[in-house]
Amino acid sequence: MGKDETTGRPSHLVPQPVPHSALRIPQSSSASARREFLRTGSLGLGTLALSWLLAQEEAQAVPKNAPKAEQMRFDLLPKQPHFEPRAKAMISLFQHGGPSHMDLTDPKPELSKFSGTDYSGDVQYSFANNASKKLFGTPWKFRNYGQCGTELSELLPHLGEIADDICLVRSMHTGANGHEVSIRFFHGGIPGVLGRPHYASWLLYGLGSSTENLPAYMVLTDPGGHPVDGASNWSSGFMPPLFQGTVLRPKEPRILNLDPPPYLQGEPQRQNLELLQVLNRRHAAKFPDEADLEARIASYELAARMQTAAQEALNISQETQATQKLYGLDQDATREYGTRCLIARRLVERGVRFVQLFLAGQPWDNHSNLGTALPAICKRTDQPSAALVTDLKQRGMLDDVVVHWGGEIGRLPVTQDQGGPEKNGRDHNGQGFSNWFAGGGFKPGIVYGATDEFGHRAVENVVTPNDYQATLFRLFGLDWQQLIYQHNGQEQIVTAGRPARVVEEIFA
Amino acid sequence: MSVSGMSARWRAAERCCVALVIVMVLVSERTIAAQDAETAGRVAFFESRVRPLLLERCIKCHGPKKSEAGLRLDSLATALKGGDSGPAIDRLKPEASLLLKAVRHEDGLEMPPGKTLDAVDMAALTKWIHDGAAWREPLVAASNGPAVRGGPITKEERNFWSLQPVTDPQPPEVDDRISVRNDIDRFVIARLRAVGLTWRPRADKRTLLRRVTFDLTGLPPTPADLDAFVADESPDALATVVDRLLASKTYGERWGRHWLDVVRYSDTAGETADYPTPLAYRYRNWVIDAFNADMPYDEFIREQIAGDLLAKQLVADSDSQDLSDETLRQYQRLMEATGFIAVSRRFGFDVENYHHLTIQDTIDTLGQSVLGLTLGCARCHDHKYDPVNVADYYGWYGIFESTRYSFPGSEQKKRPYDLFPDVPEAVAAARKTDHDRQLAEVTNQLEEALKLKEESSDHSQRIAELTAKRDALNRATPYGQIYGALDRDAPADAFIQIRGEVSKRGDQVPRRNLEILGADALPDSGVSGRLQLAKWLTRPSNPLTPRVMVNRIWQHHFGRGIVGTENDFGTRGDAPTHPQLLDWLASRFVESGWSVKTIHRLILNSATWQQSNEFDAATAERDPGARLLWRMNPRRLSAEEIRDAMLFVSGDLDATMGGEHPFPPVEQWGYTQHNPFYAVYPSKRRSIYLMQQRLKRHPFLALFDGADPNVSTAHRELTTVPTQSLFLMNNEFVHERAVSLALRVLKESASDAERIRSLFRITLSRLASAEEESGTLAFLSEYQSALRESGAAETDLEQKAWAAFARTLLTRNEFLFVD
Repeated sequence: MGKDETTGRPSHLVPQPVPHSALRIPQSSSASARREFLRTGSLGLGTLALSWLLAQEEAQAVPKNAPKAEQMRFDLLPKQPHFEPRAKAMISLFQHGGPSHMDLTDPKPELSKFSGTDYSGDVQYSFANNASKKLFGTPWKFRNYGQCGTELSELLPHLGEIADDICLVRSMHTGANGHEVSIRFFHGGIPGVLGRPHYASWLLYGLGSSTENLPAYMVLTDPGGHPVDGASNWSSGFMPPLFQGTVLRPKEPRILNLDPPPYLQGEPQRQNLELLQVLNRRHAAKFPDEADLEARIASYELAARMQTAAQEALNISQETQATQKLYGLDQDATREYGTRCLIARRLVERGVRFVQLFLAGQPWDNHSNLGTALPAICKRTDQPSAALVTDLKQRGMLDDVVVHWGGEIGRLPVTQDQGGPEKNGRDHNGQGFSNWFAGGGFKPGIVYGATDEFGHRAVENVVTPNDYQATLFRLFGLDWQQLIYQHNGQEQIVTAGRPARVVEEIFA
Repeated sequence: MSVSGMSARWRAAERCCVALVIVMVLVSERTIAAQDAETAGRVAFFESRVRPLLLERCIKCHGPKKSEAGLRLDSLATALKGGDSGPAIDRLKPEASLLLKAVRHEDGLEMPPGKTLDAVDMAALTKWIHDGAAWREPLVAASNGPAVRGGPITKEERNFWSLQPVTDPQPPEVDDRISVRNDIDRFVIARLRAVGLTWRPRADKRTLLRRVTFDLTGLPPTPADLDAFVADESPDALATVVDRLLASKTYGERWGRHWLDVVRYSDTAGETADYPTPLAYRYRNWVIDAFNADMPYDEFIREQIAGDLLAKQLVADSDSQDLSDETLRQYQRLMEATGFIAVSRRFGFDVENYHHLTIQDTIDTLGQSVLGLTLGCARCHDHKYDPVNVADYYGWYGIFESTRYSFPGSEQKKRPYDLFPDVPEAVAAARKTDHDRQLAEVTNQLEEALKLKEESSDHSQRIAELTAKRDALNRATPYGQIYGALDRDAPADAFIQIRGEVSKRGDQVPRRNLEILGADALPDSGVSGRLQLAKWLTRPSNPLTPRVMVNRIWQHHFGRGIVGTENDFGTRGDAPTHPQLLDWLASRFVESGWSVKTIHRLILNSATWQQSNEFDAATAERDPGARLLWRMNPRRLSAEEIRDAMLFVSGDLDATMGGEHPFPPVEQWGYTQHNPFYAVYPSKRRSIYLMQQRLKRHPFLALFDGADPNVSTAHRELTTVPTQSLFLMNNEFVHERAVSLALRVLKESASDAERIRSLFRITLSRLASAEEESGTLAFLSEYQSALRESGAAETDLEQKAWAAFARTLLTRNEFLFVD
């Protein structure tokens, strides 16, 4: 792999002053090269747009002393990673609110044994007003699942069925109890700091897209509304909007305006769009630093192709009854989340790089009524989440696709007192909690890391969100320290220079 | 403190600042904007977040009294030098800073002993070091506040820049050779010159006209506007245009919208079933009219907070019989203004159970919109960053708790109530009596007539007439209704809700003004206090109200305020890029009698605003976002502008102002959480008149980044996503506009060249170049061939081809952006 002489970085990761996009027209090459480009551009300009352009060949002066910013072109063309990648796509099932690990994935016999007595250690509370130090053993039973024997709660029977396929990390740690603080840590790299790109934007920046027909980064939100922190959950931060997530509508039709009026379908619309794009490009050439203009041009190109590709990708009626049933589409409790999990699979199947599912608000934030609220959200998500892994595996896709399940924090081993056992819940806990991964190079059937005997703090093989990012990037073939983005004269990386390590122990 | 001590302190501070700037330049070739606008913000961040933390958690062992492990953290120099283990702060490699490692318990370091820092403090420390560890000496002599603030407001907090009285600075002298247009330019060019930059030349006339027309009206100029402007060679040509636009009714439809963003205007309530609020439109119209009338901004604010009380005063000394029509109209307008309070967001299944949240929404919105302060935080605890405490919050809370808000209806109660008459009580009573009398009379006559078993055509006609008359009276209301606010009968002070929990009652606190604004008490406990609050917020000694508003006006002309966080003038907000200019503008604002249009004129007639958006790579490297205003930043049209401009140029715009929404009649309301109210009403009026809901956004406005009507929106974040492109390519709305536009030019002229000329002038306010003209002709003919091949009927090929070309005009970036 070549290195760039001035930076010493792999050359493909240094932004090149070369026009990339298939429709981008070289400004500086010779007229004959331009013609050749126009004829052979992978999307193929129609004769009309071509004649329009060629007629103006002379009129269009190449700007002298092209400003430096113009050379910072961004595109989504596929790029070579640093290493042989093990993962090509990822689906993140984000569980907003902080799933209660000691009730779900991290059995704590000591906690049950001392349930009701006072905890002797320090507790980091968020809501000190109704905090107690009373240990609260889980009311649910755990048992061993699969050949690997991983212990999981009876609230997640479907996860149990795929125990041999998942890599369960019980030692996640953000160090911060707040939701937003930790969410931003996971997505943006620094606790609590907004305005940074989601790590998926980094993946797009480093790897490009492997589909020309669909947005490379898609977000499936909940019909109940946006998650906590809203649209900043899929922001490209200081990167151009080309790298931001595209949100699908939470209900049918998931994308509006996919069809042109019938008489325009086909050739007429294509001609129309080509002309539009030619005009847009000429306009953009006058504003070399306006990323928005470029982004809108790219989005027209994508939109044109999405018209057919998205229709097809979102049409889950093509799936067999058996598949639909696997995801729980036949049951009220699981239909909605199951549909989104199934759509996520169809999207990555068609080359989408990153899909993230969100829940409305924070259904896992069980400060109160743990006894009823927790089973309800488990019921809604357990079967579809497990089905996704099963389905990908059946199709031979799990080798290339990472499935991530987890929230930004976990919950405390002590009671959050709400005035009665049936009303009680648990407060936030960013000191130790669980996430699980499957596919894409993660070692299946293992448990990694551990919290203390009560489940408050991660004490063994601690994994931070920065480790999470570095590890994922490695599976995608990227060295997180080498994937650099220049922003306002500063070199930025996904972890913002915070300590991180690739957790190689959990690689298959 | 002795004089010499003071000057030594100043010298130290100065040295420190110089060192800081040098370090920043060396480290990363930071841009001017970063050095300059951000340094102030970073020092403020140090003051509010880091200084208290160091004082409380570190200095005892690492300060003047003790220096454990050789480390002292009471000055920047000692912190950089570090102790036995090495430098505590490493500005070149922030993450290598031992201070961070210690508080994170990394590399065997664990500090401070005892309770570890909480996440907020840890994040603050991280951000601070990453941002270059700005510092202001001396550390120890300053206030010994807690980590995040709380408790009594300190002198230092009162000294925060935005709370200082508005000054009237002298515009800087500038080089004679620079041609400034007005005093704004002096501030701006002096600032640019100080860092070795300069501004761009004046934009061409076409650009200026398009820019000013969109800025003031949200619509493009017409070809006639363009011709008139180009023909006017007088030096005041632009000023003339500005006056014309400011006098146009379309001005209020654009600037009213900016205000509606800030007060999160909506046509529904926002509780679980999103009940419609069919009368809210009267407040919307009031806002538009107020902007058009250039209502003095202080009055504008007072009426929104206490319009009902001002209305009462208006008629207090008159006999209800003698009220003139003008007085009655004024009364109505004052009542309409209180819609500001009623459009507060509602919560839950049974709205009344969550009224405390609605009051918080009122207080929060009022704080952000008028004062640029986030007061809502103080519901649960003393504000962590700004000098606002729980007692301040509940001092205001009592005022709004003593206020009756119109009730919108809810899943639990289905029907609205507390809709108030838009006429004085006595008039309402008189009209009702009169109305009832008429109704009784007609009903009586009808009954009598029905008793007569006469069978003549005259008789049946009479019955029909009487029936119609009765029905009309039944439908008519003797006076209009207002979705607004009135005082409660028994106003009272509020009890603090401990940690914001309504069931945990704390001390009762008197209704009063915020402490930082004077802590004024009410003159008499028998009033709610809204009228007093309205006056406190708009009196000359309050520096925030005028600063915040001129900043908003500036923002909507330049894309960004002088203070970039337009809703937050607190310690976490941005520092102003041009503090002197901000105060100068605020002074002009108050001096002009709070005239918004005066500020528009000042800004639009400046060379600063009239600059071209010409790009300059060297300057852009130093000030990428042009925050120092070395050029005009191009901007994308807002959602409303895109829709309105398409309707306008196609000739399809229904320019009728105002208007109610065709909501279902109230008798039919039965909305629930599972079956909430949702409707989209088609319309060809301007977008400000579209019905906007809280729970489900209007599909077009949501797609193109319209304001979220659930929270005060200071600044719209713009996105660029393929779903927007799909709308522009395929939505019927765009196709219909293109057809109308095509028909418009086809009718206008038989010559293709004329039609092309006209299309470009209508949509882009410019002529087509010769190439564009020949290219268009080529397109039209090729396109018709393509249509013919795809089997389209021969009859409308021409129109379809022109419509297709019109569509490329309406959806191209040149149309969607303002230069």
